Amino acid sequence: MSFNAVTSSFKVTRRRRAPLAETLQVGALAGFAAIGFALIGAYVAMDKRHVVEDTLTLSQIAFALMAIAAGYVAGRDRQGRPSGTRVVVHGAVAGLMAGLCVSALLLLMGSISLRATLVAASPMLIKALSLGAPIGSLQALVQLPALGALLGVIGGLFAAMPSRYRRALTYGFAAVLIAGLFRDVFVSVLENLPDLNGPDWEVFGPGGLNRGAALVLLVAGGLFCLLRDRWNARIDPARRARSSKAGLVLLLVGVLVLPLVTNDFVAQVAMLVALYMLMGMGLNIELGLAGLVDLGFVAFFAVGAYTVALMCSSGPLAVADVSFWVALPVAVVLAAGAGMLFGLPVLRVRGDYLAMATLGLGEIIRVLVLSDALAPYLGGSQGIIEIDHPRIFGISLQSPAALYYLALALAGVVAFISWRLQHARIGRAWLAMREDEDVAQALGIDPVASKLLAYTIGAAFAGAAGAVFAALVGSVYPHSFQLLVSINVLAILVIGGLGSLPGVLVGAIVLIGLPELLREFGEFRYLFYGIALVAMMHVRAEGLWPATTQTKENARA
Amino acid sequence: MPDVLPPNRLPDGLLLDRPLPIPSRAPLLDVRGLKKAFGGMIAIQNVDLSIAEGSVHAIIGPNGAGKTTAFNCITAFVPPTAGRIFLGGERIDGLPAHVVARHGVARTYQNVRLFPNMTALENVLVGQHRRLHATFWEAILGSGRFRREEAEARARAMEYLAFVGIPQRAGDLARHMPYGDQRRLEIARALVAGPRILMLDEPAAGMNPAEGRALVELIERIRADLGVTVVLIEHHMRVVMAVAERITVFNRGAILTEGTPGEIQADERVIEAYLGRRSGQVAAAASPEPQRQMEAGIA
Repeated sequence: MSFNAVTSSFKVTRRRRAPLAETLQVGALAGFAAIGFALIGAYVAMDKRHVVEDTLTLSQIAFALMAIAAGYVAGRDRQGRPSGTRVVVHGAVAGLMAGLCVSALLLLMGSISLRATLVAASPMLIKALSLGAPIGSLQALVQLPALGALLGVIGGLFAAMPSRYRRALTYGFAAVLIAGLFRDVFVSVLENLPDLNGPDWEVFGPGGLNRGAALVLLVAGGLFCLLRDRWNARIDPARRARSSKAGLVLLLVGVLVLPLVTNDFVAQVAMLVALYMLMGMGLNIELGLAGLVDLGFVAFFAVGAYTVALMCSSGPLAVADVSFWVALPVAVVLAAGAGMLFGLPVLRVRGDYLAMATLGLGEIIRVLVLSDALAPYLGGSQGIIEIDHPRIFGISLQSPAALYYLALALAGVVAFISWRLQHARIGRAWLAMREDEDVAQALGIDPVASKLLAYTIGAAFAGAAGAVFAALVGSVYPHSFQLLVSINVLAILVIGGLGSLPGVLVGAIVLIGLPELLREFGEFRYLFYGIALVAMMHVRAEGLWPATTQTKENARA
Repeated sequence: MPDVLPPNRLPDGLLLDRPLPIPSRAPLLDVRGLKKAFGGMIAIQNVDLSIAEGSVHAIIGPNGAGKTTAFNCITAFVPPTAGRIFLGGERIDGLPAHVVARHGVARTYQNVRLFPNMTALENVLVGQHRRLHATFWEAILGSGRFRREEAEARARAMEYLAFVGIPQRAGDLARHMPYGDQRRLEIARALVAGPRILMLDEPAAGMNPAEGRALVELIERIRADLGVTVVLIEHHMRVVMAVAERITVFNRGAILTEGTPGEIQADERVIEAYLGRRSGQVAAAASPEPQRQMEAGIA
C-alpha cells in the first residue's frame, strides 16, 4: 500500500478552514494517533524490535511515519498540490503540533501516575519516549516537538518532490522495513546459502538490519523503482502485461524454493499458507465465480479431515488403516457428497439468506462432532490422534517442508482444475449467475444445477485441504473447525481479489503467513491488521491481485 | 441451405445450423387467456396472443398497460396466474425459465441487463450455454472435443457480434460500452443460442432516429437471414410502423385491438388510449367490448 494512498483518505475528510487551523488540526490528529499508539502499549511492545540495529526501532518508525504523514498532508494546498513555502512552514507546524501532543503526554505521565487506569503508561514508556535523554529533563520534553517539526518538513518535502522520486523513496523505505521486520526469515535463508558476503560483513545484527545494509537496501530499492519506471515508460503495454506475468512466475519460484532454504518454522508457516490456499481455491469456485456466500465452508474441511483421521489413524477409533493416498480420494468424494447434500436445501436461498443458512450448516457439523452421540465414533472433544503421516515411495512425509510440498502440489492441481473450469461453459455460467441470476436463467442456465455443482466442487477442494490438514497435524479436534476458519478463507478471497487465482495465493500469504511470522507482536498484530484491512477496502477494494478482465480494462482506461 | 443465404453475411454457415423455416402463418407462439395478478392488483387479464412463425409482431400500448408483464409471463420470469402458453404447439407455461429458454425463447430487457463485468465476447459466450455440450471432465482434461467446441463458440460469438454490428467491441467490458452498443450486444447474446422466437423489450428506447433506422434494418435481417420470429414491445411508432407486420395494442392490462400497421393507425381507440379519452360517450359507443375489459382489468 503506497504512502500516498494512506494519506489521501485524510484529504477527503478535510474541511475548509483557515490554512493554519487546518494544519494544526492535522498535526493534532497525528499527535493523538501517536498518543493512542503509546497508551495501548504498542509503543513499548514494538520498541523492542529493531528494524535497523541500534538505530531505529519499529515503534520509532511508526511515530516518525505519523509526523511525516502530518507534514505531507499539511504541505499540500486545497487542490492537493504542494506549493512553495507552504511545504516547509506548514509541514513544520504540523510536525511540531504532533510532537507537542506527545510531549504533553510525557509531561502528564511524569507528574501524575496514569497507571491505575492505563496500564501501558509505564515507566518503560516514559523511558522509551525520552529517547535516551534524562527522564523528566527539559531535553526530553523539547526534543520531541523539534524532531516532529523536522519530520513534518520532511513530509512536506516528500509531498513536493516529483512523484517518481517519491515512489522510489517509498520503495527503498519499504525494502528496509520489510527486511528489518522479517529479519528471521531472511536470516534463515542467508544461513542456508553459501556465504557470499565474506565472513566479516553481516547483513543482519541480532535484532534487525545493520546500518550499512539498511543504507544499501534503501538505495537499491529506490534505484530499482526508478529503473523500472524508466523501463516501463519505454516499452509498450503488451510487454508490460508480460512483465506482470513474469511477476507471477517469480512468485511461484519463490513459493517453490522457500521451505528448502529456510528453517522449519518458516516451512511450517508456508504449509499453513498452502493449506489455506487450497481452501481458498475451493471457496473461490463458490464465492469468486458463482457468487455464493458460504460461511459454513469449514464443515467440508472437517469432513475431509475426519475421513482421513478415521481411515489412517492407528489409534482406537480407526475404522480402517489404509495409506493416505487411499484416504485422500475418499475424503474428497465424501466432502463433495456432503456439499451436494447440504447444497440441496440451502441453494434455493439467495444472497444474505444463503450466508445465514450456510453459517448454520457449518455449526451443525462442529456440534455434531462434539456431541455425545457421535463421541464413540469421532472421539468428541478428545478428537482422533495418531494419524499416520503420508508415505511416498516408502519415505514418510514428516518434515514441514515435505508436507508443504504435498499441500502445494494439491493446491497446484486444484488451481489447474479451477482455471480450466473458469474458462469453460460451466465457469462462464457461474460468472453469469454471479452477475445476474435471472438473466442467466433466461439464457438457459439451470441455476440450481450450476450452483449445486459449484458448491460440490468447492466442498471437494475443502475436503482435500482437510485431508492434508489431518495428515500434517497428525490429530484432529473439533476445535480446529471453528467459524473463524470459514471467515479467514472468505477474507483471503476478498483481500486477494474475488475470482482471481493468483489473488488466492497473495491473500493467503498476506492474511495467514504474515500474522504467523509476526507472532512476536502478540495481539497488536491483529489491531494493525484490522486497520490495514479497513484502509485496504478503501484504497483497493478490488483486491491485491484482481481478476484479469478487470485489470485488462483498467490498464486500457 | 447456404445457397439461399446472402454469402457475404454467412461465410461458412456457422450462424445458422438449421434450415430457414418456411414462412407459414401457423402461430409459433400462442397465448390463451393469460392472466397475472400481483396480490390483489391484476396486471393483465384475458390476453390472447398469436404470433405467426417468421413474422415481426409489435406490442404497443401506454405505460403500465401490461406489455412487459406479458413478456415476463411468456419467458417464465414470473409465473402466470392463469392461462396457457404454447410454443410451436408445445405447452411452455409452468416450466422454469431456463427450460423455456431451451425451447427456443430468447429475450432482451427494457433496462439493458448485460453481465456488466464480463466482456462483450464473454456475454455472447454465455448466451451459447445451451448449445455447448462438453462435459465437466472434458473441460478439466482439455479434450479435443472441448477445445474444438470452445474455438467454434468463440468464432460464432464473433460472427454474431459482427451480425449486430459491434465486432470491434469484443474485448470491452459490457459496462464500459456505449448504450446503443449495449442494446446490440444484448440482442447478439439472445440470438447466439439460435432461438425460434426473439422477444425485444423496447429495443429502440433512448435511440436517435438514425439508430432507430439501423435497428429496423437489424430486426429485418434477424427475421430474413436467421429466420427468427421477432416480438417487440416498442414506443417509437416510426420503428413499429416500419418493421411490424402485425401490431397488438395493450391498454390497462388487456388487449385493446390487433391488426396491421395500417389498421392500427386508423383506429380511433388506439389514439384515445394513448392520448386520453376525448369524451366518455364517444369512447363507450365506439368500443363497448374493450371498454368493459379495461374496467375489469383495473377492478
